[in-house]
Amino acid sequence: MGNNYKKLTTIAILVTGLSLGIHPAIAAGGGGSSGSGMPSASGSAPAINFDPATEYRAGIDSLQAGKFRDAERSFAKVLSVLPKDANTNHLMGLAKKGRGKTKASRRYFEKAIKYKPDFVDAHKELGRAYALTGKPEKAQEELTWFENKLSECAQTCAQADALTQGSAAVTRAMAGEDNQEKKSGALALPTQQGDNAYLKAIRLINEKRYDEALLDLEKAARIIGPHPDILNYQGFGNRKLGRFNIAKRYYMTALRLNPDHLGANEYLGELYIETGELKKAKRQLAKIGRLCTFACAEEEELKRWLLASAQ
Amino acid sequence: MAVIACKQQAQRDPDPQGLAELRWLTLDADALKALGTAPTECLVNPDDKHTAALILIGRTAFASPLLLGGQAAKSGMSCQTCHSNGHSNKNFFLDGLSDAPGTADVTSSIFSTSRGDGVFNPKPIPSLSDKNAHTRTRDPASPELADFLHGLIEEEFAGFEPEPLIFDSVLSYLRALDNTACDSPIPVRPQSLERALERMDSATRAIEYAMLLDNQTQSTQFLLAAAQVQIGRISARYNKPVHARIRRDLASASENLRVLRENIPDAHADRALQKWREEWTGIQKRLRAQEHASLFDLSQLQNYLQDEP
Repeated sequence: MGNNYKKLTTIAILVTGLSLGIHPAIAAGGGGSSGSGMPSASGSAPAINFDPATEYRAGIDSLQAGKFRDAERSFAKVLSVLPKDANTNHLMGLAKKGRGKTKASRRYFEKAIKYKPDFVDAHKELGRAYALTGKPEKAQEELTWFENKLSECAQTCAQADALTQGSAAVTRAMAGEDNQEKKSGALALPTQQGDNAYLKAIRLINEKRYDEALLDLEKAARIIGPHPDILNYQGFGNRKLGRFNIAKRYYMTALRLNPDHLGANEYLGELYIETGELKKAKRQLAKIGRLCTFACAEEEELKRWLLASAQ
Repeated sequence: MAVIACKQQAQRDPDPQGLAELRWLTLDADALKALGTAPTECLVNPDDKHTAALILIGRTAFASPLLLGGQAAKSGMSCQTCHSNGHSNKNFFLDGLSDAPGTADVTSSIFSTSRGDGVFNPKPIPSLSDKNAHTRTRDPASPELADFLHGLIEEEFAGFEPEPLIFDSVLSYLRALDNTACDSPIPVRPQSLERALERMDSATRAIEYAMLLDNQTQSTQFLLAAAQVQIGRISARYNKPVHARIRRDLASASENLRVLRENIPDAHADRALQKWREEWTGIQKRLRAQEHASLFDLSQLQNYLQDEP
């Protein structure tokens, strides 16, 4: 029933309250070095004049349609501004593989794993690619990774099924039985599932179940692409778990995509308060004040945080 | 207060952000009716001036997202969003919160940090003006309504505890809502510029009342912010390039309220507000002169809705 009534994506309503679109002519925002398992703006970031999430989805559509060159173009565009986005690197690897460039695909799967070490699908694809390109010892390393992870998770963790399937896929490839299927898990998921995962993550965050929320946000990010709303909540979840550096990098990446993002500006200010950087927090408040022409809740909340920190 | 005059320059043109009310509509809703008209607000006339003042303040708070907290406030929701002029908003729909227009799950963790029951169980949004539908007594002697309102703001919407003046005023407003104060059936009226300006006038009078009461600093600041929100709603209806100047004027008027807010407590705040009202009178004239080309005009609104992606 919900689908029939859907007007805007929930993501647009619940966080930005304004629009899903990315700020049109964005100057280079805050940089930030690479982080584990997250996209990050590079130090000398160029201006972004397109919506990376839209381009990401276009790439997925092309991939699904078997238009691998088009997919490559889309993912290359996203990577030109977010080179450390693990999900886009993974999909770029799939596009390369779709074009028969399995050897070239390895580099992207390797990057995906570098930026997100526990990226199961990337490990699977990398293991397969190694096996198919005459690197059995490297494929074995990936298989060992799966075995270790399965052992750690004792078949009960949330990723148990994915790990089992990944392990089996690498094993088949090593035995020369790879069926060359080209779709990843994310490709089979429509945007609605990204919205649902995002909505579930918001519920979990409000219930203070941050670890679980981060898993759903990751799922949403894989389907929807690099979006400031998702990045902002990934920052929030990590911040609540005390991972301030990782949280800050998520906020910075969100602000790179949209420097005027009210939520990311507010939460970054709150992070600065938590890390004792009050001057920076006040700068965030001043920035939000400039953005909120007609008053807004983000400004009021950050003001309360600052007042509380002074008491 | 010289700051106010200085702030009237160099305002950037605030881009029109679209009509916030569209966020809560379904694709198959009659958007023209939903955005172009509203049921009449049915308020019982109070017996004394103090109660009248509280109702005015409560009315302003009721329409301000800042009364609520968390995601609801950040997405621009206010009590008014679900209870249009105190009635049920039959068009309200939010994916994940509603299963049909006019329903909402008030025990969802989407907005609440403490009331989530893990079950998707939306209920019809009740009218607050229909005495027959009241499940809680409006009797001021009973704490029932106050307890409910505290729970709603602080638990259901994860908001901060409102200032006592604001809270008591919302209670007064809720108690004054009564369908018997209107003709039956409840008349539906255009959401015209005059109605929006009347709300703005109501907000500024609410600010004056709050200023009159001692030690109500934060209440006054809250109401000033609520008035800024109302200016934003007017600005959103002047969405064309030709309206750039009037949008700048509105942004400037809002900015001046912000300055006033930040300067409170200020012994001269009443004079500053008076000065602001004079400025606002001029802006109202320009708003009226361009109303025909704004989204307060039904034909303009219809065109806008047809073009809206």
